[in-house]
Amino acid sequence: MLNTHKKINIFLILIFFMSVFFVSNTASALTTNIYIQPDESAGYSIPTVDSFGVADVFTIGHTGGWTGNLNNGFSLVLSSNEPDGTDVTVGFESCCLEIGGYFVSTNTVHVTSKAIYTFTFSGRTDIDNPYSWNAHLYRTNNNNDLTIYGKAFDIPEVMQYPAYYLNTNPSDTSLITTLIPVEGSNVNAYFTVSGVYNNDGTYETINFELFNDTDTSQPAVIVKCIDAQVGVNLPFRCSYMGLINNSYHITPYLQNDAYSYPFGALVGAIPQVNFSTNSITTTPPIDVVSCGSLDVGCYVVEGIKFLFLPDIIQVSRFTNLIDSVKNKPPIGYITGTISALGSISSTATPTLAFANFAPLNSLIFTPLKQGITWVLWLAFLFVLFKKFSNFQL
Amino acid sequence: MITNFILTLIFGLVYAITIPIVNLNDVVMSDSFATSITTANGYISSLNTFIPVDTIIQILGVFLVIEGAVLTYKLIMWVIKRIPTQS
Repeated sequence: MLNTHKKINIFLILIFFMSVFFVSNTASALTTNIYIQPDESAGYSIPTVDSFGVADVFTIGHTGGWTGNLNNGFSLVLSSNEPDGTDVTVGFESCCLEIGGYFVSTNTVHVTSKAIYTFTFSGRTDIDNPYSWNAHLYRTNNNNDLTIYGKAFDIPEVMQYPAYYLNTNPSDTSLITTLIPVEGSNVNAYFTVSGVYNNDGTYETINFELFNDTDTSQPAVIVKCIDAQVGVNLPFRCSYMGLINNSYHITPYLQNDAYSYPFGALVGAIPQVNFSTNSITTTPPIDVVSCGSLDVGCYVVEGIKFLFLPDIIQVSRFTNLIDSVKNKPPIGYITGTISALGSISSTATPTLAFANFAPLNSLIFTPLKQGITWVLWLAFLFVLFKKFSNFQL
Repeated sequence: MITNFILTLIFGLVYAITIPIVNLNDVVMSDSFATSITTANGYISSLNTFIPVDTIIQILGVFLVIEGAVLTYKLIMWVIKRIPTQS
């Protein structure tokens, strides 16, 4: 016979195990699933997983077998069962090709309202070098199920090994140059990028994607910069007018024109270039106008524009020069002093903590400060008047 | 074209003047300078209880801008007067 004390102990142990069982079941029920479903038609096997939760990393990979001169990649189509208004971040935190090549980019998208997004990664192989690659998929929350369909693709029949590079050394001012807002309008701006491009291969286009930093889910603008088949040290320069005034970063990629696939990448990552929203004094770029064959007036106007309107690049050289000089001695000391003095404000943390003047503020100090403010401005205007009334240059 | 040419000439002149400066190292302000500004900032902020610090800073800024403009004008006129036939 069990005495009362033992009965209570057994009862407590039962309660404990029941609690553990309940909690574990509850945790299991909260685990969300991501299903990676292979597209068998593409010929690549992608493992199916479930129970893909936060902080789990799932590696999608391919090892060996791809030989020859191929541009290839991998795309994932993602559909979400999230309820409306819920954001889910799923992305690739890293990816690489272990031998040769690299992926164009990594993506993180916010899935909202059952949207469907497509990730596309692509790389290129070295000739006859089989390689393996992998991408690490992750998610940052754990609400509902996600379904991801994978599909690999190839871009075969590249005629020649594409060799290309884009010198992106930011210290080389002859290359990636400026992102300049246009004066006279605080809503329109443009960017110009220039550099030298080497390509001894196929038809390719350098594209620049400008991502609006307030919405990084998709490029705000895709600028097609150069379209060439063969070129060694081929200079390029491209611009885009009409950017909305904002902060951007710019990412380049190559596109195989024959197959419309982004592929490969530009050697060396272009650093993020912040689009300055500070206005500068410059002239709006000249619009390209197509004059009619008999429109003499149009030709005259365009001729005058050509003769007298300055190129925006010419003006930007001055601003670049200012940037390169402003931190050099002796100007740098003035710049530093102005910058330091600019930080002085009344909102800094007071060194001297006065007692609580709240009752006195409304009665004495606030009206006093208002009065002093008026006196100061009037005194300033008086000094200004006296100065200019006797002003001699 | 014409404006570009003039701007190129001006830029070349300015660039030639700034070449010795551009090749210098960037100025690194002393830490003690930043500390002094921060310290002064704290005391100035304390005074804001009694006097309108923001107004004083604004007036000082406008005053410095005016004085700077006058000084720049005088410098330019001084250079112009060095040109022969200009009095």
